[in-house]
Amino acid sequence: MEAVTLKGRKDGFELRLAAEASLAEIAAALATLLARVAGDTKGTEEVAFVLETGDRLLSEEQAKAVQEVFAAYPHFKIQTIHADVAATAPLREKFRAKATHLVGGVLRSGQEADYTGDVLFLGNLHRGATLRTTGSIFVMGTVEGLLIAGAMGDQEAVIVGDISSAGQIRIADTLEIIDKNSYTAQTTSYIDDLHALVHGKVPDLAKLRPKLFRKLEEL
Amino acid sequence: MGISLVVTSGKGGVGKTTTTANIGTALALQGKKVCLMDLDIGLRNLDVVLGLSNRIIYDIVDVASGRAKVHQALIKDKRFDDRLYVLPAAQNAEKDSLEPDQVKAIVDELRPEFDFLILDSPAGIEQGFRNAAAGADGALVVTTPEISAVSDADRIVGLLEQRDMIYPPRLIINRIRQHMMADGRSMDIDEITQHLGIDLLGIVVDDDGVIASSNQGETIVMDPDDLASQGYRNIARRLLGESVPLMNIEQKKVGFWHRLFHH
Repeated sequence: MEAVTLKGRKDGFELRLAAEASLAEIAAALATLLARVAGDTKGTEEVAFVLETGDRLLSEEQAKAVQEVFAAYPHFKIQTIHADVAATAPLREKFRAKATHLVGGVLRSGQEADYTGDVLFLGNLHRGATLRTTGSIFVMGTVEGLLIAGAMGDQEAVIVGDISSAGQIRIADTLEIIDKNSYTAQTTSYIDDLHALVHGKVPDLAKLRPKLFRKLEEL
Repeated sequence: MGISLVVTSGKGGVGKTTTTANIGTALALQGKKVCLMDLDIGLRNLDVVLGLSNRIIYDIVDVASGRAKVHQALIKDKRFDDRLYVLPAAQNAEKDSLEPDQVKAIVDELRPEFDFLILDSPAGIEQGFRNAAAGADGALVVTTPEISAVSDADRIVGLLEQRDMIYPPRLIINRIRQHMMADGRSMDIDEITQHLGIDLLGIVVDDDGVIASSNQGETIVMDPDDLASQGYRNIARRLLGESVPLMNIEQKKVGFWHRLFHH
């Protein structure tokens, strides 16, 4: 297996750096390859490469070493460095932001629960308590307190479920004080095109917020 | 310029919040513009007894810390046109997240717009009481005809007198049980007033309606026929400078035949 393979792509060139090869091997192979390419392509027109590192994540130092090889050829540019793998820490963050948290138990007056992502609420939110999340809230439990969805300003967030006995609901920067109402478990609260907090039914949700159903696909 | 009054008692459960809500309502019914302020950080109630808790968006700690303007935090009670407002306490903040100077500043900011500002103090003599007292020109000391409540009221009067307020503290005796007072088992009105040595502003009888109405998010003052309501209405009229005689709360003497057949 070659340490570095050159491939043509629709939008330019791709350099595959074999994950099995050592960095020194890659640097050497890359130097030879670039020298050959430079010989073949006369002129100084800019050529951009996408670097595919496969199952290896380049550390900053390693990336620098690779960039140094390129330094000898000013008209060769690294467009991006891309790997098939990712570090777990940022991935976990990303996951958390998209996760749906199951929340149960009793939240009492004065207590606040804060989440990142969506919340499926199965517990009991007492009057004077607050459930806050950056994403959407799906209510299956009992809610008499304050629900805050889209706490960081997400206009796409929704609150689905029975809010008839809630004190207040807020989505992003809109709010509604719940007075006399006819809300049911089917009620879907969202921000419409006119930036008003309005209510629909659960079946409308797929049309209103299609992305909600494709969360994991987009990870 | 509005007058600010603190409602305080020392002892808990004597009816500070109920008194605040009812006097505020009574003054609003008399056409005055009133702002009620809940200083019980962490255990707010004033909004609940007025049925306004759903409408809270910002609270007094938000105002004090600059997160909100005071007018954003004020809740208007729609039942009284433009005359009754509530500034709610925070429910999830620490007790010491408010300082006396901040309360004084908020009161002074609101003073030009209202006739009365009534500050509902929490029980106790700590930070919450000091906060409430700091913003007040005068005090309404609430007590009940019980030795423990009167003793705590005495302590509070002492603390209030050290403060050099514009108006001297005045007394409200709450939860008077007419039959117990009539047969001498509870402390007498004159006895309490004399012991505490401050002017009596009014008396309010114990009444199931007070609890029932507050459970509905209403104040008993809205019911003109109720005896407790009349007590609060009289207090409001005296605050406005009217001279209103003290309510006669003596019950009919229990007759011999009644005794004979009802024991």
